[in-house]
Amino acid sequence: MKNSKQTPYAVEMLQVVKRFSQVLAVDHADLQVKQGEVHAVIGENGAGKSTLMRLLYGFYTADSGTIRINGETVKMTDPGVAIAHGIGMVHQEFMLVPRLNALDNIILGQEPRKGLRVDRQKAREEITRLAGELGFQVDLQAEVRDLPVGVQQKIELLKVLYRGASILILDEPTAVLTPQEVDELFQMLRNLQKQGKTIILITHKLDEVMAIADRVTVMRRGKTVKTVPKDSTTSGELASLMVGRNVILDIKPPPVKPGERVLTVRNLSLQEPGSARVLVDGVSFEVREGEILGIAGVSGNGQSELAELLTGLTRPTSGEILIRGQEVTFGSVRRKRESGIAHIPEDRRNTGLVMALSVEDNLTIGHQDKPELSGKVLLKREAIGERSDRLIKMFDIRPPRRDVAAWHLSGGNQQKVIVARELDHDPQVLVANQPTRGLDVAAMEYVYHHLLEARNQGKAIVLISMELDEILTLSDRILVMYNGRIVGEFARKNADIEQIGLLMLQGREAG
Amino acid sequence: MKITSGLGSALIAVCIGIGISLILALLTGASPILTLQALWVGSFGSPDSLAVTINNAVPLILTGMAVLVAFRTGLFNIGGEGQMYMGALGAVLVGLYVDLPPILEVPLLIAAGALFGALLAGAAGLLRAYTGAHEVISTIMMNYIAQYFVNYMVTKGPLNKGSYSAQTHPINPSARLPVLWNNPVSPVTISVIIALASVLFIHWFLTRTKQGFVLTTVGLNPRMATYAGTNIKGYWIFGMMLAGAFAGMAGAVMVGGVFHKLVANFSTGAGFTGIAVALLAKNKPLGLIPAALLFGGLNSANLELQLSAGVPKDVVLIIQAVVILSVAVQAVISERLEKRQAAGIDRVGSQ
Ligand SMILES: Nc1ncnc2c1ncn2[C@@H]1O[C@H](COP(=O)(O)OP(=O)(O)O)[C@@H](O)[C@H]1O
Ligand SMILES: [Mg+2]
Repeated sequence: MKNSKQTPYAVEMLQVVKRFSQVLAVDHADLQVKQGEVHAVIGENGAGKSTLMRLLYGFYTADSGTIRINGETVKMTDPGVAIAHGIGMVHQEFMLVPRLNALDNIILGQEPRKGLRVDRQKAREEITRLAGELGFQVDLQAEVRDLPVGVQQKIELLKVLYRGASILILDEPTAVLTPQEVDELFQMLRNLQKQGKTIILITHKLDEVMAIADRVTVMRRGKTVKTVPKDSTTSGELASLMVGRNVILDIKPPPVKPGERVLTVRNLSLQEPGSARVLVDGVSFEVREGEILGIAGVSGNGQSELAELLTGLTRPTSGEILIRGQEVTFGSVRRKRESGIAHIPEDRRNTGLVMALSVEDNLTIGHQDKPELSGKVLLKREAIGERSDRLIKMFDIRPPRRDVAAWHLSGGNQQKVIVARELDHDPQVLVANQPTRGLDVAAMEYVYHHLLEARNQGKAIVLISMELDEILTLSDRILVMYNGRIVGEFARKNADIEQIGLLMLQGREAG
Repeated sequence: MKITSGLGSALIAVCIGIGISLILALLTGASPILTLQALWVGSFGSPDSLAVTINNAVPLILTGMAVLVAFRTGLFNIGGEGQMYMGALGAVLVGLYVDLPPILEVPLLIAAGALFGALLAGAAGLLRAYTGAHEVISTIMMNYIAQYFVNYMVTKGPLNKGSYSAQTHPINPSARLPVLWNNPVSPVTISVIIALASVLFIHWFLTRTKQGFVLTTVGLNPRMATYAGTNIKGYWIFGMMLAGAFAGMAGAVMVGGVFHKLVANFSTGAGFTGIAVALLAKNKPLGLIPAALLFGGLNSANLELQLSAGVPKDVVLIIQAVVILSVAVQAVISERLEKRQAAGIDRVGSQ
């Protein structure tokens, strides 16, 4: 179909789909890579980059869609097919045999033979030549497990080149490297490009894209949202494309005048025990009655730890937490809950619920000491049953039965059980960590509705989410967390997605 | 509903066990008919063997309970044997040195047994909660400590009665457990009532009480329990103490109801068999009764099997082993099924 006089794309993936039981990892994605270019594929963690590449490499087979290599339609059923078409992949997790030496790792499965024996001499010459062309040397006799990761990566790369790959896929190669090693790697990639190789580089770092890519494809939630030449874009634009806005729900929270200060956090820090790593670094903020404070950030920048500090699951190294002026900094979970903090945890299945217990039991956990539900020893089963029925009705938990085990419920209904239980504490502060992760739109809307209702009733809410949309939709104020620190604060009306995106991705606004 | 399905699979296990042993009997040249007959007569089919079976089952219910309660708290109590030895020690101290009317002394003897068992198991709970030492390791080690300590007390220690025998003096008659059925071979005492009451108590505790509810959540998901504000360390210690109390009572009923003194190495391994009993009972309190009767009955049938069917005594061990194995296999299978359910297959309800 393509104009045959024009050189075909080295790689063309059209409307490719891959679903893992619950997640649509790749959702009708398109990717077109020109011959001889360095093509960056960027996106947040979980955007589907690795899966897309594994589809190209035949590691997974696509549910639907077309893959063409140099114009020829190919059924990528296993990596053998990909290798035969000149595709090589350096995986995010290396696939080397730790106890073999570098040489054997490289030739494994492709050993040159001389009679019955492996012709290691020939292989060694060949590999040394390949390495030389790229401008480095490796000790081929060393056992792989003794080598630093930077060198292991070179071995992976040699392994791919040794198999004659002309299209190279590198999945987040820089994640494990020091800045010097990154420079070295990029030098190597430029050399490879000069030799005419096509390179697909996966990353989520914008400055790397700007340093080496010719063109960029941005992925978000399994979709390829845009492909642009590097020279006609800016890191700001890429940032907002990456974290960007999918208007899923048209919710306009009514303005509420925030009331008194409920939660005050001052200089809160957490150092990882037994190491110098600071996970939460001098965080300060306050939340008022009737206010949702959104905390945006790429996953792993200290948000989960912050939630654990606020709710008492972890004790801070230093700092202060106050509820209505009363200090609860080092209090246990129980103490924090008694002072009015409720918590929707990020890990629904392992923290939020006891999967083997019934909906009723899950609604009751944490409330069992209330005088209307128990005496000193005995549970008041009847009252507990009535309360469960009331909550099941109020929160529309389906199926509307208190005796089914939590693991029979869909994710959305499981989350409703948690939300119902936590809001039934009538808390002063609600810490909601990733409250809609993995939910479908209907369930998501449901959770939003309850969060906003709680806010309108005057509760103070801390909303932590990796979904910027969610933060932008619900929050009255937004903090951006990066490397354990708060690096930016925005009022709802000043929230600028490009600025927030850059802060999330690199902790500073300038590209 | 769950108990019946548990019972169903336990029955399957028993049938497989008996089936395999019949095959073995055939292979060793014994008659399968005679073997079945001996199994029945030797366990439940005559008054004497029934009495022996019951007396075998009582300590097994209690040591099974010691495993069950810990398991429901999320812990593995392998220390029933040691806790039973300590319980016997506590009981014999009361029996030797306290002289009260039976109505007071018998409960005191049982309580002392429970307390000693609870303290030993509680130590393992404490270690787990505050040092992270795994309770499997610590309870196994404590088995040795307790057994050797008790043996020392009755051989070279202060409780030795003198005359070169490894035992204490007999306990006061007022400390003996009252007999309910004076069977000449094996008198059945109120220990039966103690065992049954324990089962009912724990069933009630787990299903009706607030503390039982919290303990269940700790056992099923300690992370969730912590998140909900539970002091899980406290529950670990409490769960282990409660568990140890039952194993301790097993020791006490042996002293107060069977031996009327404390003898070195008195146990035939009831503390360990309790693990298998709890497994067969699927950790349901009411399931302990049939499971303990089965193991008690098999042990009691042992002699009859050898005498009248000519079956070697190891066959009983094989039946027990096969029963345990097939329960374990079923447990693995049903766990797989549950995991698959949890992974999202078989979901009901929609958003
Ligand atoms: N083998 C798998 N089984 C189930 N889910 C998977 C599997 N691999 C990836 N996923 C899911 O697919 C989504 C995309 O993952 P991935 O392609 O690894 O993203 P990225 O590489 O962009 O970080 C994620 O939600 C991830 O959890
Ligand atoms: Mg990846």
